[in-house]
Amino acid sequence: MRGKLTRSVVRAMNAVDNQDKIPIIVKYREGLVTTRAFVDGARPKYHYGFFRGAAWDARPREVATLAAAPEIERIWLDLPVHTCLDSATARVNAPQAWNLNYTGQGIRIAIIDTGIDASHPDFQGRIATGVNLRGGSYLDDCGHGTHVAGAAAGSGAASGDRYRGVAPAATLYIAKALDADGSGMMSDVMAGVEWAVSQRVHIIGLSLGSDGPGDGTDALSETCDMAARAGIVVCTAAGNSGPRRSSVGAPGVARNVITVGASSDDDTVLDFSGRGPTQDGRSKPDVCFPGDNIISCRARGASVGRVIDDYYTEMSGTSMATPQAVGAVALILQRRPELKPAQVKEILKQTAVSMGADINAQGMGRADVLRAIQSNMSPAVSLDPSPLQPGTAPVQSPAATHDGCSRVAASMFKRK
Amino acid sequence: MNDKGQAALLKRLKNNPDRLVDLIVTVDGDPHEYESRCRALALDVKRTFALTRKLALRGTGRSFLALSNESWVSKLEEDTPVRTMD
Repeated sequence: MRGKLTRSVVRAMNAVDNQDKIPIIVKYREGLVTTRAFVDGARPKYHYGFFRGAAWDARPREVATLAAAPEIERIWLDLPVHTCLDSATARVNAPQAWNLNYTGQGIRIAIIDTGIDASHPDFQGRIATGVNLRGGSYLDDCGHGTHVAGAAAGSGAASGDRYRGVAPAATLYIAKALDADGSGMMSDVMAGVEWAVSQRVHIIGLSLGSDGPGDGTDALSETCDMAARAGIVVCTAAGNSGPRRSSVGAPGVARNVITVGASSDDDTVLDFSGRGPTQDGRSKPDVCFPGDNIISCRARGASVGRVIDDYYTEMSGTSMATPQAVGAVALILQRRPELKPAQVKEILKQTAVSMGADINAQGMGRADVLRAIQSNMSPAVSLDPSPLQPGTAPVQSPAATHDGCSRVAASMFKRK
Repeated sequence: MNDKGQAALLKRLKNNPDRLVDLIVTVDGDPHEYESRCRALALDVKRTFALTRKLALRGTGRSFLALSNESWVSKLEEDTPVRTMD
C-alpha cells in the first residue's frame, strides 16, 4: 500500500486528524474501467477519462482504503495552483508578441507607487531615474511598487525568464508617492504624474486609487486627463471594491485614462474588481487583465504577498492587472509610435476578448496583447474633454506626440 | 463655486473653523503667483501644480474660508487619501 502513496500524501495523512479530509488524485491501473465504489458513502469530485483517475477529498482511513484496492495504481496529493506571471502573460498572448520582437524597447514607462528595489536583477540597466515625492530615496519600503514594476517590465532574469513582465525591455521611471504601507494623498500622486510628464515618458501606471463613486472631476482624475492630453497613455486600476456598483474611484473614473479591471486565469471577472458606471454615467473599467495570484518581483526583504523565493512574490488585485496593461501599451507603441492615447485605448478595447460579463464589470473584455499589437486600426477618436471649471479658459489640445509634453505645460499658464 | 459639493465643503469649514484640513485649490492662471497670498492667509503650501493650475494647501477652516473669497480661486476640494490596489 505504501508504495502507491507519494511522500506528500503520507505526510498529509500524518498531519491531519482522522476526521479531516485530504485532497488527493487517484490513478487507476491500466486496462481497468471500474465504477466500483471504493469507499462507502464517498464520491470523487472529478473523474478523468484521459488520465484514467479521479480527484477525491478523503479522510486518512479512506485514503488507506483506496490504496489497498487492487484497481488503484497511485495516489498523489492534490496541490493548489496559482496564476503565475508566466501564465498571466500567456493568457494575454504577450509571448507571441515577444517572438515578433515587441518587448517595449525604447518605450519609457513611469510607475507611480511605493518605489522600487533597484537592485533586483530583473530591472538591471533599465531604471532611468526615480524620485521620492515625499523626500528621501525612492527605495521600495513596501514591496508593492517592485511587484507592479516587475509585472509591467521585469526581464525575468532572476527566474530564467519565467516571470517576465509584459514589456521586458522598457525603460522605467519611478516616482515614490506612497509610503511603506501603500498609502498616500491625492496631491502626492498628482505630483508624481506631473513629474512623469516632465520626464517625457510614454506611459504612466497607477496601481492605486481612492474609494468610489466618482465622476472624474476630482483633482487627481483631472491631472491624469491632462497627462493624456499631453500625449501620455495613463493606465489606472479599477480598484478592489467590487462587485459593488459604481465602486471605481479616482483616478479610475478619469475620462481619458485606461481603467483596468482584474480577470481570472479562466477568463472571468474577479469578484473584487471595481465596477462602473461612474457617477456621471460612463462605463468603467475599459479592459481587464489577469489579476489573481500574480507572481512578480519581490523587493529585498519584503514580506508583502505570498513569498515565493528571494526574488518573487505573489499578489492579487487590480494593482497587478494594471501594470500588465502598461506593458501592453508599451508593446503597442513600440510598433506604432504615432498612435495617440485615445487611439491606444480604443485599440485595446476593440481587440479585447469578451468574457460575457456586463460592460461595467469587464469593460470590452480581457485584453489580447497580440491582437492589439497586430491591429492596423487608426481609430478616429479624440480625448473626452473634461468639464470646464467656472472662470477658466478652455485648454488647447496639443498634437499628442510624446514630445508635446513641455509645449502643453507651457500653454497651461495664462500670466496675468 | 455654487455646486452642491462646494457648498457642503464650505459648510464643513464654517462648522470647524479651527480644524486643520488638507485641500486642493484650483486657481485661474499661474498657481505660483498665489503662493505668497496663501501663506499670508496662514495656509501652508504643500505643493504647486503647474500642469493643472492647482495648489495643495494645509490650514484651518477659517483660513480656507478666507481663501474662498479670493477672485482667483475657482474650486476647493478635499485632498483625499489613496492607497495601493492589492
